[in-house]
Parts: sequence; C-alpha cells; structure tokens
Amino acid sequence: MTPNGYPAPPSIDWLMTMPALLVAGVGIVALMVEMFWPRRSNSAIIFLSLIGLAVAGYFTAIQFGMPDGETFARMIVRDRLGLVLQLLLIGIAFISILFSEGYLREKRIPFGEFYPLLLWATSGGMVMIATKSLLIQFIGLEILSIALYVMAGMSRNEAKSEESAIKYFLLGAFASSFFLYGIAFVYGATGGLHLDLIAEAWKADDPSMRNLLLFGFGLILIGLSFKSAFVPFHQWTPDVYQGAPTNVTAFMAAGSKVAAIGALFRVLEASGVMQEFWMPALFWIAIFTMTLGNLVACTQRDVKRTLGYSSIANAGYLLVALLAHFKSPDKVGLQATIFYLVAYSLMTLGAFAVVSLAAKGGKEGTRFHDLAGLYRRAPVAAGLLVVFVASLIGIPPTAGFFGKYFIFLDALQADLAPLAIVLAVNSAISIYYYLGIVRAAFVAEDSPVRPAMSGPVTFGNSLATAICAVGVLGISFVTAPVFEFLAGR
Amino acid sequence: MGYGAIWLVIGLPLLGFLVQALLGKFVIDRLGAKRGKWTMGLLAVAPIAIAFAIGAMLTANLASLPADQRHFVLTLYIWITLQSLSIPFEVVIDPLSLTMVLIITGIGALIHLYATGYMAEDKDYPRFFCYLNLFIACMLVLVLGNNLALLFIGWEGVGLCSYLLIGFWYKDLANAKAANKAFIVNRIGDWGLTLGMFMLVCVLAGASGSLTNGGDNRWLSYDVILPNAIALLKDNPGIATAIALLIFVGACGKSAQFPLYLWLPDAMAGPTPVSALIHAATMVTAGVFLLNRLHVLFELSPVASAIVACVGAFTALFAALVAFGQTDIKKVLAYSTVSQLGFMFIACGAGGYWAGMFHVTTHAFFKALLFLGSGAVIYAMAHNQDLRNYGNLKKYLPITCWTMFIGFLAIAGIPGLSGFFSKEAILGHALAGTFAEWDGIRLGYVAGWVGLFVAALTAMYMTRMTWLTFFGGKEQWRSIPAAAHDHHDDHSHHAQHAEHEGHGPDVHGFFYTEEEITRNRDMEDHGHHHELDASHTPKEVPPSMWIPLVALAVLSLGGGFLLYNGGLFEKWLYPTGLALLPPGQVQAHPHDIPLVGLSIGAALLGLLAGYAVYRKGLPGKEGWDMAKWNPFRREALVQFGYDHAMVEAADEGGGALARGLWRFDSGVIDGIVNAVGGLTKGLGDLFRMLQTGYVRAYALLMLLGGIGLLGWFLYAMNRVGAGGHG
Amino acid sequence: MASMGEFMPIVILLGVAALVCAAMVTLSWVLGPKKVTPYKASPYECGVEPSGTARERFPIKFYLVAMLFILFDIEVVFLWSWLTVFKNPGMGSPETDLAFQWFSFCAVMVYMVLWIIGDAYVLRVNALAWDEAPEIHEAKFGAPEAPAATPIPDAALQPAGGGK
Repeated sequence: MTPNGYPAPPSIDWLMTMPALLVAGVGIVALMVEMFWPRRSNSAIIFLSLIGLAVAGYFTAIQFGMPDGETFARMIVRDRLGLVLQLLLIGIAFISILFSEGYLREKRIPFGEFYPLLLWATSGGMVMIATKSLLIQFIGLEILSIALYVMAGMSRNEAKSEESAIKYFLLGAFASSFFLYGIAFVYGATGGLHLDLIAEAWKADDPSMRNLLLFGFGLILIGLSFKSAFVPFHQWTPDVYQGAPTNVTAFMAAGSKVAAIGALFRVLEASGVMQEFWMPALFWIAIFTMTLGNLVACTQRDVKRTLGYSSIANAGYLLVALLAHFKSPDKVGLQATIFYLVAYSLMTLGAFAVVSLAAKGGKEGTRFHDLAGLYRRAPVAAGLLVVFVASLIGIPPTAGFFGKYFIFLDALQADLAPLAIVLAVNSAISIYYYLGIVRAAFVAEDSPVRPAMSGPVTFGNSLATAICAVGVLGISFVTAPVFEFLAGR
Repeated sequence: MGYGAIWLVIGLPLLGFLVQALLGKFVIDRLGAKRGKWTMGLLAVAPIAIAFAIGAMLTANLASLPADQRHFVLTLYIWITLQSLSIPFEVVIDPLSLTMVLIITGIGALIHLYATGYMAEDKDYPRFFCYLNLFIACMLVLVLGNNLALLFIGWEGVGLCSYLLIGFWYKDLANAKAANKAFIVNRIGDWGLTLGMFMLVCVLAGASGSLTNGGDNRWLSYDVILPNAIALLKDNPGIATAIALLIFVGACGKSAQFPLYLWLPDAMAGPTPVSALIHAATMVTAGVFLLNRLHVLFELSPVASAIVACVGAFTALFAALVAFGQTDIKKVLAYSTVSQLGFMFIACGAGGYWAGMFHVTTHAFFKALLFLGSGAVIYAMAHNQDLRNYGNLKKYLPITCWTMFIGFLAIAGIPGLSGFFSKEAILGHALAGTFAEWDGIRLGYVAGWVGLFVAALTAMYMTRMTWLTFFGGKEQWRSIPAAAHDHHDDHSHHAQHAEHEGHGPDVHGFFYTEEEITRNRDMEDHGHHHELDASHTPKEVPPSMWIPLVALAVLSLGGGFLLYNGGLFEKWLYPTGLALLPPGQVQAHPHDIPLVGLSIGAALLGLLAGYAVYRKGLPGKEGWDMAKWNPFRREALVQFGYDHAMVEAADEGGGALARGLWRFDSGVIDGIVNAVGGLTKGLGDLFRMLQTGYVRAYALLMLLGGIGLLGWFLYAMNRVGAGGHG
Repeated sequence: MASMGEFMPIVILLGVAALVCAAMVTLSWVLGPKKVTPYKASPYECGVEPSGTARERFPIKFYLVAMLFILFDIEVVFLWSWLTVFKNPGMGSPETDLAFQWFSFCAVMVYMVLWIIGDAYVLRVNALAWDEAPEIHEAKFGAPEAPAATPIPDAALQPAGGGK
C-alpha cells in the first residue's frame, strides 16, 4: 500500500498472461482484417487465427516445468492444471476453426466475425482457468459467454438459431447474476476477491461470517453449475446446442465445458474447508446429472440434441472424477479428470465435425433420418463417426474407454462406490442412443422422399476429424506417459 | 552404430506403409502409370533394404561382443501400468531376434524387388505394397518385442496383413473365402496363445511374493518370465505343461501344424510374392520363433515337448502325402511348406531349438526361391497354375529353371546344399536326444524315423513338380485349342485348362451386375491379359524378377554350409547351451545310427524314384481325366477328406449350436432386455416432460434448484451448529 | 467489517429522499382536483388523434443505439475516475508518481485503442445506419451458383425446444 492508500502498480510476469492476451489480441487483429481487407474471403483471418493459436500454444507449452506462481496482483496464476487446460482450450479452438469455414459456407453464413469471436471466447475460457481471483474468473466467464451468445445466434435467418441465442443469453445472464451475487457475499465475508481468502476466513470461526461464506459459495456454485450443465441447471443445453450452428455447438460443448470444469475445480479446491456441506449436495447432483442426461437422450431424434444430452451426462462423469479427487486427495489425483476432459473434447469435436457435413446450400438437417446413407456419401467420415461414438460409449481401445475406466477406479478408491455404480449403469444406458446415431449413418438408406443433405467434405473438415480420430485412438496407447505427465512426475 | 538404431528398423517399413497408403494413388495419378509405379516400387523396396543394412550392422556389432553380453533391452516408454502388471514398449536385441530381423528384411527386400516386377500390371499397385510394408513392420514388432503383449500385437498384425493379402484380389469370391478361412482358423490358435499368456501372468504375478525380482512386475517380458519360470515351475511340471501346450496351440495356428494347417493351402489364393514372403519364409515360422523364445517353458516339460515332436512328425508326413495329389504348382509348394514346418517342430520338440531356427533360415532361402520361381513360371504361363499344362519350360525359362533346380536340390536334401545341413541337424537331434518322452516312450526318437521317411517322400514329390514343369520334353499347353476368346460358350473342355490365378470376373454376381461382369470380361479379353493356349510362347521374366531368384539360389547353395560350419549357428543362438537340459540329453549326433548315410540314401532314393516316374513328363494316369488316377492320389488331392470334414463339422455343428442359443436368447434374454429398455425409455419420457421449451420454466427450475442447494446448506449449517468445528 | 454507525448518514439520506418522493406523489394526488373529462383522459400525442394501440413494436435498432450509447457512458465514467487518480497519484515520491502515471497511462491507452477499434467496427458495418444490415461479400460463399439469401424453412428443419 502506498501512503495515500492506492495499491502500487503490480509487478508483472508477462509470460504467464501471454497465452490469453495473445489469443484475445489475435482476435482483435483478425477483426481489423475483416474491417479493412477487401472482404472477399476469410482465408487470411483463418490463417491468422490458426497461427495465433499455435503461438499461444507454444507460449503455454514452454511454461511447463517453470515454478508455479501468481502475477498481476495475484490475479493470474500458473500451475500445471491451468497450463494443461489452457493448452486444451487452444487445441479445441484450433480444431473448431479447421472445420468451421466449410460448414459456414454451406450454411451461407460465412461471417468473418466468427473467428474473432471464437478467439475471444477461447481467451475468456483461458482467463477463467488461469486465475484464482473470483472477479477475474467472472470477467473470463462473461467474455466466454457473451461471445458464445453472439455465435449461437449467428445463423440470423433461422428462427431456431435466434431462439438458441436468446435462450442462452437470458438464462446465462440469470446464472451470471447468481455468480456475481455470490462473489459479493464472499467479498463481504473475506474482504477480498482471492480464493485463498475463503479458507482463512472460514478458519476464523465466526458463525455469521461462515453463513455469509457458505451462501456466497453456494451462489457461485449455481453459476458454475449452469455453465457446466449440471442438473437442475441444465435445461438450456439441448435447446441451445440444437439451435446454434453446429461448429459453435462443437466449441460450446468442448471449450465451454473445459473452462467451466476448470473454474469449478478452482472454487471447490479453495472451499475444501466446507466440504462436509457441499460434498453430499454435489454427490446427488452428480447422480441426477448422469442419469437424467442419459435417460432423456434415449428419447431424442435429433443428433445435435442427443449430443447435447450426452454432454450433460458427461458433465456428470466429470463431476464424479472431481468429487473422487476432493474426497481423498491423497489417494486420487486429478489426472482422471483432465484425461477425460481431453478425451471428451476430442470425441465431441470429432462427432460434431462429422455432423456438420449435413449442411448444404443454406439448409441443414440434423435429425437421425437426415444422416441416412451417410456411409455412401462420405464413407470415411461415417467410419470416423463410428470411432467417435465408440469412444463416447467407452469401447476399448478408445480414449473414452480409458477415461471412464479411470474415473470408475478413482470413484472406487475414494469410497464413492455408489457413484461408480451409477456411472457404470449409465454407460450401459448410453449405448442405446449412441448406437442410434451409428445406425442412422450406416443401416438406413437414403429415402427418395426426403433426400438427405450433405455438403462436400472439405480439407479442413478432414483434417479436424483426422486429428480427433488419431487423438481418440492414439491416446489410449500412451495412457501411462500421459498420466505421468499430468501428475507432474 | 548404437543399438537405438533398432527403432529405425521397425520405423522404416512403417514409414513405407504410410507413404504407400497416403501418397500411392496420388503419385501414380501424377506421374502416370509407368513412372508412378516405378517410383512407388522404389519407395517400397528402399525402406526394407535400408532396414536390412541396419540390421546387418547391428548384428555385426552384437557378434563382436562376448557371448554372455549379447542381450539388450531398449525401452521406448511404459505402455500399460497396472498395480500388478506393467507392460513397456520395449524391444530385445539378442542373437535370436537379430537372426529373425535379417531373415525378414533380407528375404523381404528380395521379395519386394521381385514383386515390383510381378505386380507391375496390377491396378492396385500401391495397395499391395502398402500391405506388404505393413506386414514387414508387424513381423519386426513380433520378433523384436521384448514381451508377449508386443509379440501378440505383431502376431495379430501379421495375421491381418496375411488376411488382406490373401484376399488381395477380393473380387473373386474364392479369394475372399480363403482369406476368411485363414483369419478364422488363426483365431483358434490365438485363443490358445492368449490363454497361455494369461496363465503365465496369473502364475507369475500370483507368486510374486515368493519371487525375488526386486518388484519388477513386467510379467510378460521375456527377461522376467524366463528366470522366474525356472524358479517357480521347476518342481511343478504340470503347470509348465499346461502353459507350454497352450502356447503351442498358438504356434500351431500360425505355423500351420496338423489340426490347424487348413488355412495355409487356401492362402495360396494370394499373389505369389505374398506366398513366398508370408506363407513360406517369415510369418509361418513365427510359431518356431515363439518356441525358441520361450524354450525354457518347454524344457521344463518333457511331455509338452514330446507332443510338439509328434505333432510335427505327423504334420510332416501328412502334408508330404497330400502333396503327391496336388496339380496346382503353388499347392504343391504349400503342402511342402507345411511339411517342412513339421520338421522344425520335430527339432523343437526334441530340444534342438537351434536346429529348428536353422531350418527356419535355410527354408526361408530355398522355399522363397521355389515360390518366386513358381511365380515366374506362372507369370510366363499367362497366370495358369496347373502343372499339367507345363512341361519342357527349361527351353523358355533357363534362369528360372536352373535357379529353381537349385532350390529343388536344397529341399530334397542333397549334400552340400543348405537344406541338407538343417535337416541333418533336426534328424540328429530327434534320433539322439532322450529328452522328449512321455511315460517312458521316446516319442522324439519315433519322430526322427518318421522324419527320415518324410525326407525321402519330399525328394520324390519335389522331383515330380520339377520334372512336370521344366523337363520331360512334352509341352502340355500345346494341346489347348487356340480359340480361347469364345470361352463364355465353351466351358466344358478347357475350363480346367484355363483356370486363372484368381482375379477373373466375379461369376457369382456378388459385387457386380450382369452388365458390369460382361464389361469386365470383355476388357479382360481384349486387354493384355490373355489366356494360355497352344499359341502361347513363354518368355523369360524381367530382371527385377530373376535377380532375386539368383540371389536366393546362391543363398540356398552356400548358406547352409556357411552357417553350419563349425557349429557357427548353434554357438550364435545358444552360446552357453540350454538353460536347463544337460548336453547329454540333447545332442546333435546319434552314435548308434549312421545318420548321414541314411539321409543321403533317403534323398537319393526319393529323387531316383521320382525321376523314374516323371522322366518323360506327365504320365497318362495323372492327366486331366481324374477317373484314371489311382485312389491314393485322388484322396490326396482332397487331403483325405480332412478339410471337408472340418468345414462341415464347423458349419453344421456351429449352426445347430447357434440355433439353440438363439431360442434361449430370443425368449429369455430378449424379454429381460426389452423390459429394462422399456423402463429406461419410460423414465426418459417422464423427464422429457420437464423440457417444455419455455425459458421461464427453465429459469424457474434453476431457481428451485438454487433454493434447494442453499436450503440444504442452511439446514446442514444449523444441524452442525454454525460455530462448531465442522 | 465497519460498524453500522459509519453508514448512518447514507441511510438517513436514502430515507429522506424516499420520503420526499413519496410525499410529492401522494400530496399532489390527494390535494389535486379530480374532474375527468373525455378530452383530458385521452392520451396526448403532440396534438394528433391517437391511432391504434400504444403497445406497438419498434425496431430493434433502438436497442442497438442504446447499447452503443452505454459504451460511451461507461467509457466516460472509467476515464473520469482514472483522471482523478492520475492528477494526484500520491505514491510517495515524484519518481514513483511518474512511474505510476506512465503505467496507468499506457493501460488506459490500450483500453482506448480497443474501444476505438470497436467504434470503427460499428461504423464500418453500418450499425448506426437506420435501414441497412451488414452483408456478406458474395465471394465468401465460395461457390458462385446460389444466391446468398436462400429461404431456410423446410420440413427437415425443426425448431429447437418445445418439449421434444
């Protein structure tokens, strides 16, 4: 503190903030390209975005092995979890961009603004993960969300896209208000915004402060549960996923989930002192999330909607992994959570990339029967869809299998056997609707009455699905080294 | 050169595979058929040749070390870690693995070179080399991997490649069926191998407390298995026998031993270079390699060894007899391969593991030579494979004829050529050893005498094949009418004469409409691919095909002597003798039997008998009219009914079983499943009603959820007492 | 946490403000004469006869303009509070004062530049023009054949939500 009470200018380790800043900055440059370049093609923007993401990835990767720490007046943090998840987010954005242009063209909405928005959303997610300050987390959350609202409504001629955007916006604003209100409570109790203060304030053992803290924590939890799509804060998911353009849905499903789970981890970790209160609540939330997501998915007839419910169920699996870690942090590391996040991101992105082939000439059909005969029109893509679905089901030797298997083991080790059993039963249920997708693509023939739509398979789409497929299949051969790496050994 | 270069040996063929798979079509489209195929051929041969060079240098390095230090394990990374088992991705460099590497890459490079000529006319040129390079990579993983899991990956990988290559000309249903048969029969072997692996892990990991290996839980790695197996199973031969026999079942499948040999003759449907590389020189010897790798387990169990020797001897005899009835040149060679593999197992059963490997090596030389030679003949004879259409080809194909003649002498066991030495070593071990016995009966000894008899038979049926093809004066194909183009209408006479090697039009209509079939047929007729008839004049094959023949002929001539001389091969593989068996129980030379004389006698006898019968070419009672055949030969043609019986049993028995299971399944199981499914769907519908589509309803549920969560916190807080220490 | 006493003046101020407002509304309602004529009861619309209902839709552009205006508002608030500190840093010594001024100046400039880019973008896409919507350049669609505005509705396209 300085004599007149203002805080001194912070000393800054720019390297820590570099990745997120770079991604956001490239977004701004990309927007300027869109503004001032003769607006004939998005190639320059795409190229720029990919390069920017790659450089940001480089700056993230070189930080592995550097000591953990905080900078910017303790607003930005560097640790292994943050770096891994930031890298994952960058990868998700990269893959999303790869298959976006072809889809947007077929959908007749090739706005150049999409790419800056995607980059800003990514940077928002990265900020959410790379901080232990509640306010910064909120800012990250808003950057991520607002960009997503806009992207969800990007298909302006489609009623369902607008519906998706407005629903997402209204409910998102509602959830954000919970989050912000929670921050205010916590600030009231701790006098600060840093998460580490929660434990200190709790230990001060003042009953009224404890009430404030617990309430504040509960409100923050609601906000993050909305973002992660936990039951009963999940209802936006299927509607928004179905209505948004498919590439946006893909990013939403993967990127938004990674950011939300990362932020949730930070909050839960800091609130470990209150575990006796939130553990039972989240235990039941996990059970409901897994079960409801899978059960309702069985009744769906639209691929994007089905995958929306599947993402709810997957959020449940991830919550189980988190709970197992917090229940017995000595025995169970965080590796299973991160591993499953990686696996989930790859298989979801891959599946959506294949589904995005269903757009042609401004129209798009994503109902099951629209996939009919896909194996004839795009055999390789259909084959890859099988790989992704197999992974989502959890069939060895895919990444999905190992991910679920490790979560299962973790749950057992942490004495959360009921969660492990519910997870296993839900995996079995999920086979039904996942196979429905495969069946639609392979068994059913093109119907002459309702000619199925599919656009050309672009190079970007092939590359994106290939990366996802190689990841989904390849990661299972290197599970041991990956785990070692995630554990920081 | 450091031993790390071994990764290059595996990596190069893998790279070649990727290049062929990803760039093949592109390059050929871009450069045109001729230059494109030349480029892709080069890109296919080069990785294997370079891998061979690296392998040779590594071998030289290893040989310069003292005998007891020739063992390295290189670990790439830990692949699977479980509490009680870890499986690294590791390779072992020792004399055995490097010997196999040299065979695979050396013979492989020659056969790749040959195939660039043989397949030159094929549309799917890159696909062929793509499979072939992948095969080499898998085979190298099989032999270099330091644990059974990696061996299994390679084992299945080569099986897959074999399947793909047998069915390479997949438009003919017969080829696809042959491929399926190979794949399915091999599953039985794999079943045994996996059970053996599981049992080994269970036994070793289960007793890990009593073993002193410093917490090293790589229970599938050879350097952990072998010492621990000795310590653990020495007093428990029953378990050793069980494990050894299960692993032997696996070896039987891959190496085509008696109950499971069925697939190998059918596998000849693949292109001839494939038959030479996979179904003669390398893949089918994987079983012998496995027995060498795990020889300690077999040393622990004389019973299992006796069974191995007996199965080997019976297979050798059976296949040799069947070979007499075959009219397809490749089928003769296929049965001869089965028979020779039987010899190798006789050696392994009798404890002469090095002799088995020695025969693997020499057999790779001369059998690859014979197959490639037969390929050259087939190539020169318009893809006709029937011995009865050949004769006097030495006039047209001098290089092929004389190189193949060397191969023939080698397999017949003529002294001085490679086959003689290895066969000698095998029979010596069988007749002198006292190891392989069951209940006091020296089954290995019996196997040795059977082997000697089979040696005579081998000389005889190989004489038959050679004389019918190259000698005998009569040019049989001259009797096929020259009007080959109208063969749609005239099936009756020369349908048999004009059988293709398989990639004819799809007569079953499985893949094509009638129109397409007709079009294809027309294209074949008017294209390059003409039928064999009287007007045909065979031409010597191009250099890319005869250079490998010459190289292999040289190896068949001198290879055996060089390796045998002074016990070189034995001291290279087993410098300190076997782990358990004393030298007295396993020895190479019987004292009471004049083996050399007997085996030379057997070879000459067979040769002369064959010469006497086939000196003048095709005898009348072996011609096209099967009614004139003698009953033995007719039965031999159909493998004495064994193949038919097995297929029928599997078909009928399997069908009945499946129908029975289906009744149970549709009644009981489906009932339960449908009930559960209905329940699930009902619940799903119930929850779906919550999803009204109205934002206000969603927000309300969120609010209720939030109230519930905070209410729970409030309740819990009051319960424990807010000020209490939670 | 501060004691209640510190906030007392504010509470009193709030109370007085509320009281005054309530008093003004209530008193005028109580004291004023109430003679309702049809002429008085009709809505006042600049002397023109009202037509139709007052609850009618108006262009969403109004919102856009309002939102853009809010951005200016926020910017002014932000700059104002920064300026007060900028003028009197009070960091302890002239050197630290200068350091602070440079740092904060750069930070605010970054903010301003981003803000200006945003405004430029708004102008560029004609967001303030009343009748025009931003168009996508034809070339971006890749294929030349189909027009940009293909009508979307089709049996295959289902609206989201609605309890499915």
